[in-house]
Amino acid sequence: MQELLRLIIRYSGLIVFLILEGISFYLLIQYNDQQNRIFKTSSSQFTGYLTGQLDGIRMYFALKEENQRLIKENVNLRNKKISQFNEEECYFEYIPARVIGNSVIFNDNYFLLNKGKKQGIEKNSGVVDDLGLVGIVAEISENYSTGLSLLHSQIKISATIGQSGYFGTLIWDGRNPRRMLLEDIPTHATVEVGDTIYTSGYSIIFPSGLVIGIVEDIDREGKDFYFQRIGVRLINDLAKVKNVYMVKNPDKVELEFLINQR
Amino acid sequence: MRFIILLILQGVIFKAMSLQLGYFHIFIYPLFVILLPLNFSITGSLLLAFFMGIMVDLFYATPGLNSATLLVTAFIRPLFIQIMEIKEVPSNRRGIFPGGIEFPVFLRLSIWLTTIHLLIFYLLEAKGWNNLGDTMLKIVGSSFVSVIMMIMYVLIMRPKNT
Repeated sequence: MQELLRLIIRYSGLIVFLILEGISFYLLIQYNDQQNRIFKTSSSQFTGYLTGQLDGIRMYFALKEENQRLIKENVNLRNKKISQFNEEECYFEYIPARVIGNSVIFNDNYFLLNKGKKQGIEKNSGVVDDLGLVGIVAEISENYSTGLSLLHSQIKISATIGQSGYFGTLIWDGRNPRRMLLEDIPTHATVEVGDTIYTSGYSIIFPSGLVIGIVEDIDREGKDFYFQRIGVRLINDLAKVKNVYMVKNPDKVELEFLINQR
Repeated sequence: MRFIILLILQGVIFKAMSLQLGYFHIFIYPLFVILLPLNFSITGSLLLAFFMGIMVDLFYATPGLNSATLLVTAFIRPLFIQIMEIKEVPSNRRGIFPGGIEFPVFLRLSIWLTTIHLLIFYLLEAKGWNNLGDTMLKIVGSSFVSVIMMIMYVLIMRPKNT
């Protein structure tokens, strides 16, 4: 018994290290499961308050820039003819929010919004800013919510090239935060550098016709013989995103029910 | 006190700055482990490292990532102290030196531990050897700016009248 105790004391450092490392790896491995959701919800409550307070100070100093941005957005809206608003875009509801926490340095990036369940934010809803897409709401607490940024390995956005009708899946390869990849575009589809990429509308999260980015380069070979891979320059800079809108699909519950029936 | 300052610097200021810095992300929180007293118990170091790591994870919403990495840093630190034969500065002069060691020694220890810390951090974060080129650039770039920031921290926080 004494020998055992002596052994434990002698290797206490290693034992503590292995136990704590085990806990850390458990959290790390369960990254997409229940523990992670709980962690993210409590994390958003904890850091949400603090970063929210600091954001208030930052916002004061950025007022001039924000004002310019809002004027620009207003001018764009005024110049847009009624006919240019597509029916689907108008059907969705928009809830304004502010990004108070954001990352672009990881392979899986998240953002934190200053609005939650109380303000009508819903899980699995799209988030956009005045220029382009931002991500998808993942977890919500009473007053805050976290979301998967477009710069996340699990994000897959259905996107279409210009008016061509060809659509593919937009993913992020974990490299450049201003660039995503559009996959599954058939090789016979005509694509040119400079073409605009829009949301396809083949999802219940984003309406169709929202600008995502511009074709930057084309890999005609793609990942196999039949499909090409397109590099897309994002229209918005996700490192600078501040004022956003949560996109709410009024028919989401009904559509989700139908999809789950399959 | 150092715990809180480094946590706030990392979780609020450097996290916000990292959005604009490309491959250069500042990680100052390993300094908490680097600056622990040389003869501090390994169990105590590990517990403090775990707590610091979890708190940083809360800010970054990366459960387990920073804590797992900082635990390794805390675990290998005594080994480096031994290999580098680091000796404490006599107690009457200790106040002006970071962690009670000479500045060049602190610098060497910081470079080694920060680089290893970020090597583990980015490999864990990238889930292995994906995008190895980018990962290596992040490790080198971030180690460089992190050590510079650590030097600035110890110079600014150095007691003035000792």
